[in-house]
Formats: sequence, structure tokens, C-alpha cells
Amino acid sequence: MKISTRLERYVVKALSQSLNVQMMERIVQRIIPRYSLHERSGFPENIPIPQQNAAWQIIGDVKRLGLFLKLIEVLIDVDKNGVMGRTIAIHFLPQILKEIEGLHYQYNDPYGLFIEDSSRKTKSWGILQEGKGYDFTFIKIDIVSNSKLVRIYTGQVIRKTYTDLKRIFKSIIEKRNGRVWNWEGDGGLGAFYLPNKNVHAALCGVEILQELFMYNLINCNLNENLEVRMAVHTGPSNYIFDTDSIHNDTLRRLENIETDYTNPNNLVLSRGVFSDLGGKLAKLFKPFKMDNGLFLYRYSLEWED
Amino acid sequence: MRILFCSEQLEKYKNFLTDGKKSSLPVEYYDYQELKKVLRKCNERMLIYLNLTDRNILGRAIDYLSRKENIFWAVIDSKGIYNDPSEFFHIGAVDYIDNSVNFKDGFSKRIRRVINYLKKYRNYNNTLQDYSDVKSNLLLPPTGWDKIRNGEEYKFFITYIELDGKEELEKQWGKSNLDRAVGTFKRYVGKVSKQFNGKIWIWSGFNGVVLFPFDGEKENAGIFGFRLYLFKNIFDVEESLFPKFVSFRTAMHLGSMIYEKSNKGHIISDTINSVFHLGKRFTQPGNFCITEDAYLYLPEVIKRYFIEIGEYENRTIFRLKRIKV
Repeated sequence: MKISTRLERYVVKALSQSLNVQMMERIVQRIIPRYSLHERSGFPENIPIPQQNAAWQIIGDVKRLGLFLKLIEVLIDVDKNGVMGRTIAIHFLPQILKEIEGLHYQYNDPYGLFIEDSSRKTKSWGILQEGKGYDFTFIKIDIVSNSKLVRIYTGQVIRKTYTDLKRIFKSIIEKRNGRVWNWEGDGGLGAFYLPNKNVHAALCGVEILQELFMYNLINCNLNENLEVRMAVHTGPSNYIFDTDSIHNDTLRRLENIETDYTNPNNLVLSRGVFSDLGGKLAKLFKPFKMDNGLFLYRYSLEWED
Repeated sequence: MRILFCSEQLEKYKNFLTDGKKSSLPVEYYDYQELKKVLRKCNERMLIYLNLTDRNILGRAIDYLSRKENIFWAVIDSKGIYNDPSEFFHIGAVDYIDNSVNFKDGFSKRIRRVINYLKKYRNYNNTLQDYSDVKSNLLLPPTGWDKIRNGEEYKFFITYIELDGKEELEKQWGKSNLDRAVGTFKRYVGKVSKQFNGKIWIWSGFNGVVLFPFDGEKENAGIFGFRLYLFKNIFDVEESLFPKFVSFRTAMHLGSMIYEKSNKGHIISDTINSVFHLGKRFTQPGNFCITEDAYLYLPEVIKRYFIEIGEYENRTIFRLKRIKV
């Protein structure tokens, strides 16, 4: 993200005209623990740091660490909620938000986060940093009997059908702020990072199965139903731009749930995902035991006989 | 039911029934020879007003119509030449109009009275169709709403939707909270209907009517209802303000009605009444019922998910299978 000098100046003004040096330091410590302005600026402990200098020092440090937007998120929070019961108005926030919108980021109020606006949908939401570890929720979709379908139908029919499935998968996932991390011939992987990621991933799975049901009824070009298996699991994972190359225990566990415990046209959640669901959503899932005695949770669309 | 006017002097009497005013019911005009051709071709339920001054021709016409099924006939005595109108009723007439009748009340009201009489005293219900099921020369609207004109009669898939458990919810919730919660459901109905070219026509409290114009071929309304139930659980989790899963009933019928853009709730339509009755009196909570008239136009793949559950007001009714939760 390229930060303009004008934006930097607005943030410097916001810091220096709204907060004293001690408060600036305390606020920055929310994103950089043990941050010390004297240490960073080189001013001796017994000499007060001018507010402008302190603000410029902070800007330089957060930029270097890729935490510029995090600093603005903290400033918005301070403006909204104050600090330790004190109300603090942060000046120039409207101008700062406008500048940041120009960089195609939008402040998402319920999340309290900047994420890329609707004009861009990158795999990192515009905020993940290469090589760093985060907590994600993943959804895996796999086409049932892919090799058989490829053998029976012409390339054109298969391409059309699989493209349709990808469109359904992608649109439903992106609608809930998820991202498609990869799509291969017979399925794909979606990732969720923002708040409520478990709820969003589970809902996406339910909606994809239902949408696929409608697709099979009305639009499918195959002489049979297109069937999928889906699994959702949550856990830590590193992020790298080439998401196809990400391998870790969380993804291995997801694959294991999908291949060993998921029937066609079923969605299966791991316990970690299920435990985050609210009452109504949880009621859609039925528990079942794995070989090791632990529970997974299954959803499938069933009609009365 | 088709309404036909038959006269020897068509041009002179063409507006006799409607008194020159625009009628909310379509009237077809034929001379006697044309009428016979029409009757040979179709077997629909008709109400035919005969304005024939020649007694012999009138006698032959009555004799001919009396032998046909699904035909009700009436006499217009525009010259006042028949002294004892009751004679017509003795041989089967359902209405008699002479030149003293004025139509200030409107022709539609008279026809409705006649139909009520037929329902009560004649074999009307066992005959073929009622006037809402006409395959006549009614305007079949193109799928676009922009082509639909106020005050004109069109065929619609008329869909009545009602949230179940009104009394219980009113006991548990304050009015403003309940209004907001019902509002989320209304928005859901509006959102799904829009995808299928439908519009919420009326909404009052817990229930409303959604209209889908029918162009005679393409059917969207059935899929709308199907989708409304299929994706209900997503609505329940993401949008609904009700703490429990909502339950709602839906009744759908294909029929003709006069489209009034800003309906203030003064509905004068047998079709609308019949859909309301189907929804309120017959359809069980949580169910989606559809009349045979609408069912016929469902895509075959969708029909498999409906089961026949009986008859209501002489129409076969189908119900969408329930989704197991």
C-alpha cells in the first residue's frame, strides 16, 4: 500500500493535535507492545519530545512494520470509545478516511477493521502480510466422481458445469467476505479470516449445497446431479501469496475430514467450527462420531418422503 | 368465466352491457352466427347475454345453448317486447335485462351477483372453470412490469404469504420490535420475489400478496415459492430478528385480476378472495400450497417436490414437501 505524504501529514496532525506524547505512546503500544518513543527517537529520557516529532516518529515506525492501517483503526476506536473512561476527539479523521478510501480500503465499522473495498478482492483482503501466521477458517469443496464425469461427458459440458460450480462457490464465499484461495479441476479451497469466520464459513457451506440443489434441478447440463462433498475446519495457518503452496496441519486435517468423513451432498464441520455457531445455525447440523470417538457435525438437505 | 354478448345489431348495442363505461370484466361481442362458431370450438364456462329481437331466432338460440355444457345464458330485452320475463327463468335463464335497467352500479357488480346466484342455486361449481381461469382474449402481460397498466386485467400468479403464530408473537413482543422483526421477513420476501420478476403488491401486518405477471409461457412464480422455502434457514440465521426459526404459509393460484398499482386494501376480486381463503383457511402453518391451475405451469422437475393433498373450493391443491430440519 502506497501511503501519500498528504495522508501522512493528516495522521501527524491528528496525533499531535489530539493527543499528548504520553497518550500517543500508550495508544501505539496497543499495536506494538512495549513501544517507547524515547527509545525510538533517541531523545534522552529527561527531555520532553515535541508532539510533532513524536508523531512523525510513530508514522515512520508503523509504516516500516506494515501497521499503518492498524494505527488508524486504533485512532478510530479511541475517537469512538475514549481511553480509560476519558473522551478523546481525534481531529482530521474524516480527511484521513477519505484519503484511505482513495487507496481502495474501506473501514468496516462492525469489524473495526480496514479491508479492501469491493473493487478489489485479493487473497489477503489487502491486510495479511506475506509469511505471517493467522487464524483462518477453511472450506473445502470436492466434486464427487470427478474422474467418471470427465470420462463420460464432453470437455465442453464438463467445462461449463465446473465453471458454473466455481461461480456459485466464489460468489457465495465472497458475499460473506471469504476468499477463494485455490480452484483446481475437481474442487477448491475457500478461506475466511475476518470476524465471525466460523459462522460465515458454515453458512456458505449450507448455501452452496442449497444453491447446487437448485442448479441441478434447473440448469445442470449433466444427465445426473452434480454432487459435492464439503468440509469446514478452523485453525492456524501461515499466509503466502502463492496460496497453492500453503501446507500445514490445519489444511491436512480439513482434507482428512472431507475425504474420510463426508458423504456426497453433505457438509461436515469440525468441532472448533461448530462450537462457534449460534443456536439457530447449530440446529441445522447433526453430530456424528469419528473413529477416534470425537464428534463432527453434518448438514445435508433432506426432504420428507 | 367468459362473458359474451350476442346481438343481431352489434354496433348499435355493443356498449349496452357496460353503458359505454369501461368494464373491469372483459366482454366479447358476437353476432349469432359467430357465436355458434365460438361455441363449436371451445368448451369453457361462459355466460352469454342474448340480445335477439326475433322471437324465432331467440328460441333457436336458447334451444341450442340449453343443450351445451358449461353455458349459462341470459336475455337482454332491449326493446321491451317480452311481456313475461319469468318464462325465461322457467327454461333456464340466469339473468334478464330490459331497457329500464341502469348500470350505475357497474356491470361487474351485476355479473358478480349472477355468479353468486349460480354458485348458490345452480350447478356452477361442478362445471368446468370459473372466470378467473379464463383462457380468453384477456391481456397476457409480457414479463416486464413496465408494460402493465393500471386498471387493466391480467393473468398473474397470485401468491398469498402469511407469517404464522401472530397471536403468540403479539403477546411476546412489543409493537415496534415486532414491526421491525416482521419487516425483515417482508424484505426477505421482497428480495426473493424480485429475482423472479415478482412484486409485493399488498402487505399488511403479518401477511401480503406477491404478484408475478404471467405471459402464457414462462413461469417463475413456482420457483420463487420453492426458493423462498429452500433458503429460509439462511434468512433465519442471517437476517431474521426472530429468535426462533420463522414459520410461514404460502398459497399460490394462477388467475386473472385487475391490476391496481396502489391497492389500499379494497380488493374486489373473486380470484384474490379465493387465494386469501386458500391461504388462511386451508393452508397449514409452514406449508406452501398451490392450486392445480398454477401447478400445471410448474417446471416438471419442480413438480416432483409437490404432493396432492386434496381439494379446496373445487380445485385440486398440491403442497410442497417439507424440508427436514
